[in-house]
Amino acid sequence: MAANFLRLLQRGGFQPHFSPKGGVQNSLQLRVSPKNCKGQRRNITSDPERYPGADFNYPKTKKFFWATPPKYHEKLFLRDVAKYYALTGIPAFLIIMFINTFIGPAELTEIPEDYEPEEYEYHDHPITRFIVRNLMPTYQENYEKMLAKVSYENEKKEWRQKQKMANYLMQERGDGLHYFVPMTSTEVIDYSPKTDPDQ
Amino acid sequence: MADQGDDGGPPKKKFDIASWEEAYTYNPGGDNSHLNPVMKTLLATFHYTVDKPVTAIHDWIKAQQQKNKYPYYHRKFRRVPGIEDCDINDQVCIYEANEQFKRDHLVDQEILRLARQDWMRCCFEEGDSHYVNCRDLKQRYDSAQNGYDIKYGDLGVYGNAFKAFMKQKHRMIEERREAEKQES
Repeated sequence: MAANFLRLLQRGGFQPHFSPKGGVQNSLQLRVSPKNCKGQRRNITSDPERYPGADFNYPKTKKFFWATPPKYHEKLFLRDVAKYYALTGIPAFLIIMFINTFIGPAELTEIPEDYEPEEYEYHDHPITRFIVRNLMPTYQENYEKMLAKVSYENEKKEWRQKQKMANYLMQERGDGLHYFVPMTSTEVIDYSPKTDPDQ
Repeated sequence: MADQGDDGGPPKKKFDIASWEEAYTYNPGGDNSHLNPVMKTLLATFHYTVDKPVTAIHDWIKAQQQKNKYPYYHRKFRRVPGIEDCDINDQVCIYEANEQFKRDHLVDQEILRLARQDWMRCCFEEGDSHYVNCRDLKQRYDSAQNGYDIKYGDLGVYGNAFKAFMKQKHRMIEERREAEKQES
């Protein structure tokens, strides 16, 4: 189907087929266009001398052949689409239906005393319970990982602040190993281009 | 006149609290016997073609699920120190306080929703007399909404525990200034 559309775009549309639309009358009309007649319509059945053999004596129950572009490739494509969607869709639908009818969701109960439920016992659907039990980390684990990251970055921030303060104080007081930008001494610099006047 | 006999007086209306329920009884109803035959047939067709099979399937499924029941629980969080107990450089404490603030925000939204639902149900059931009979529920809902607005109002989507804390601080400063103005 997509290939047919591409062909349409490349060729610039479908060319007009000879398909007799409109019925019997239009099928026997002729567009006559020699230089003198200028494309007038003419009913050729009313002039048997000029157009012998053109008459209305044919079975009126005739089936017309409509010349259309083929839909064969579209049907093949759609069959493939349905096949691949159904290949996983139908098993998934059946599995989920059987789980929901025969196992069913859990019921909300109070936490008994001195009992700490597992992570999967906080969910009600059996599939979420399965995923949480086998594939996912616990809430507490994730929380503590986040706290660890936050504390790590906080420590870095504090050390950076201390370093900046130390550098500032050392530069201000001049009593530590103060950092400086190295500059060349004036004895080495050649100031002659500056002292010569413009010419 | 007395010689014409005692006709019993005017009819004795039973109009006291003890006989209130007897005086005003409602027929139970529940069946559609007050409808016309066309409506009865339509409702009966719906009942026998749709309602009965669906309820049968529903009951069968529930029976299958009742055979193996198992529980699930509601997660309970421990209280951690809030934003007011946190050092300015302690980002871990601030993070935990923020998480607690978000949880409390959700809980407060649900509380407000339940109060609103109760009041709305009362209004629907009472009809035009809700101004009188739903006064308590409306008062409850109004106080809850007022508290919610004081704490969470105008914080926006990026509101956190720190902003709520600062809002409280500014509110207390404003109250103090107004009190000082009124004193002087």
